Amino acid sequence: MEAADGKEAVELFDGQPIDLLITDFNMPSMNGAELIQKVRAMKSYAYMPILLLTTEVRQEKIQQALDGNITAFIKKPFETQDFVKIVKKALK
Amino acid sequence: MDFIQEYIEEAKQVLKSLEGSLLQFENRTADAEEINTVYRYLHTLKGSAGMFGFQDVERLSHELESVYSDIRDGLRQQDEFILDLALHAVDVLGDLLDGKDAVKEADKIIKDIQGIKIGTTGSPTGHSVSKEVSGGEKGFVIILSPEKEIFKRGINFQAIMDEIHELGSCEFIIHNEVVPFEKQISNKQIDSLVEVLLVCKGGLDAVKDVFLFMKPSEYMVLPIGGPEVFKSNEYQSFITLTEKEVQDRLNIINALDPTVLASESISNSIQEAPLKAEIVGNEEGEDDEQSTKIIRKSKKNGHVSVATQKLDQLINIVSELVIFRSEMHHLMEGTKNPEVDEALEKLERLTLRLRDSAFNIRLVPLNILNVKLQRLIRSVSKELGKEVEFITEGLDTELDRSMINALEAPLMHLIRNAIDHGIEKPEERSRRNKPEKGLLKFYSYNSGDHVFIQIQDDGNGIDFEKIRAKAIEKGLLSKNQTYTEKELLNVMMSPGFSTADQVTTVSGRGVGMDVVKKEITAIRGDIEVSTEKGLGSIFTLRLPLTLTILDTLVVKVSDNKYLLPISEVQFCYEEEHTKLFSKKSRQINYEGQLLPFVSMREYFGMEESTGKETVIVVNKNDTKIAVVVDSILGKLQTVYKPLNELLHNVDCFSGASILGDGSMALILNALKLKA
Repeated sequence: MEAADGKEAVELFDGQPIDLLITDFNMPSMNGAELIQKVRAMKSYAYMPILLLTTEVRQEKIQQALDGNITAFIKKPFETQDFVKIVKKALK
Repeated sequence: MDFIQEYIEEAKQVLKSLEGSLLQFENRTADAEEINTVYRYLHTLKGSAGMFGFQDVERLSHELESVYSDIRDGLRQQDEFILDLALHAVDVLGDLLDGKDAVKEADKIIKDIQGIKIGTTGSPTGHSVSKEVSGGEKGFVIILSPEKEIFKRGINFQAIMDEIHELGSCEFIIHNEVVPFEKQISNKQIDSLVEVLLVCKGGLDAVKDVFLFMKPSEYMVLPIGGPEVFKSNEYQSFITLTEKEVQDRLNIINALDPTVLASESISNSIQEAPLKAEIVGNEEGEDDEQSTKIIRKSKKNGHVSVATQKLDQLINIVSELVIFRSEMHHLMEGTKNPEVDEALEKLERLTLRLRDSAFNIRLVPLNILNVKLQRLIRSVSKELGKEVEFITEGLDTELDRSMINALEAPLMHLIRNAIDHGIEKPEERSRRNKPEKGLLKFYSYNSGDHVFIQIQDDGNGIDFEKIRAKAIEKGLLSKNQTYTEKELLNVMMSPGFSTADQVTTVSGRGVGMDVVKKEITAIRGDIEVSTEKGLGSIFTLRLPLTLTILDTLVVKVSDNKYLLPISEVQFCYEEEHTKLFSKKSRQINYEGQLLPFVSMREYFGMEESTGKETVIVVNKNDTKIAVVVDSILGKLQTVYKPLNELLHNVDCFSGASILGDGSMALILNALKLKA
């Protein structure tokens, strides 16, 4: 499933089973942090793995804000094979 | 089973051990204890044979026993001749037990033995050597102190524990268990500290990989070098143990794998494979070198032999459980009840684990072929006057029992070929500046869900000119065309091809590489050859771990579902129907390569689809083909069932399987779809 921005994404989380959320931090209309907090608050997705893509510069700040909600951060830029490894692991 | 049958089974077991012990002597001079072991086997054999009225067995083992009793007492040296005789006697004894008429052979051996006793016979020596490198199990102690709300981070702690389980054998110790741990998991709030003792083959990195999503403060992995690990600062920052608790842990580690602690201090005595060592720590443990004492156990460690029938039954039940689980999954798909989902998930985990352990029971190490291979090499190299050094590695790789049975003949054939056609005679070798002794290596290893076996020789390599000439002579190739090496190797494996200049007793008896290839393909394996002229060849066999369970991709064509083995699927993408069929050539461009594609709808004579279709690139043995289906429905683990004999001409399907909803689906054999 794909969504162009955070708003669109929230609509997808309507209670249907979803295995994994991968989101960027910087997005139009709703940023990654808001999206994650909204989704986490829903009962169906309380324990779903979430991967957040971030840039080096802001990592620490974001990490603090979202600690306890996120499965793993993926720093941009990343190698495809690392990304695949992390996604595979999150889906286990 | 009556007593006699039971005796025969037992006697055969003894013969097998005897054969193994005898072959050990080839590598080095036997020490007193081993000679004694051989003597004891013979003695057992003799005693029980008398009891059950196998007089010839009794006579033969008696004679042999007396020879080994002399050797044990230092009155005689074991030489090549005696060893040959003893090995031959093992075969004859086996025949006698099977009720075959081998009395004449037995008499001949007895006569020879009596000849030795008077001192008239003897023979020159020639050796072959085998060496085994063990797997190298490592021990780790892991401490996990997850945050209470780790589940809220989308991390399934149970899955992490399962992953540790998959790494090797392990024992979990839960500390601070106020709430039962199961409950903590289901409440998704972890209060406890989890300690894991793990023995596995992978290194530290492989273990740490499991904790990719955990914070560095949440886990700690310490390699176990000895008891001192439990005294280290790192360990004690989490847990402090009493002496008794340390001892308990050492005992657990020993039960998991005795070599982990043993390899540190006493690697020498461990190398004698049949003996298992157990370590008992001292009370104080002040001096590490001395704090371990070894007790040798010469008994096998708790093996139960079970009739294969019973095992097959178990596997059948488990297979059906797997199907049932898929069915359940299918039925429950509509519900959005998280508790049901969770219960299903648990069921899934358990079934998978049950399946894995059930299949594990059927797995046997390749080691059981070792004795046979060594004897073959011994006899073939003697017969051909060649000297061969046999090196094995990874014989502890495990395979399905039925696979090993099916592998025996082709492996023997490959080895025979390597010695006959590959390795040159000693004179020839020294002329070519090679050591006189030819090298034959037998490697095996696991990779993914496949087992690889390599047979490598440092002989002459494959002579492509010879293959070409021969193939042209046999009319398999045309004279005026040039062929790549790969094509020539393929020809070598096609029916009715054998290059031996003369038909020897060893190879070239009409069956050739084509039979090897056929037998390997029959167990869903591949064979690959690489060769360098003058330097040798490598034959690589790639085999599936089990024969019955298959990971497949479920695809839809019109209203029907078909399965494609996932191992063959390389790439998938969606494409508009019109775009695909706009050109006449029926080819797609995949990674700059033009690939032919087959539309399943067309192949099965159904009406054309209009919208989007899915293209699946299938790669089997480097032959690629694209298959066009309506869509991909998902991934499914299925139990492979062969097609009925009446359908054996239908080669576009390789088998059938039952889907989760109880309906049937056929497994596509994509390469045969080419019209």
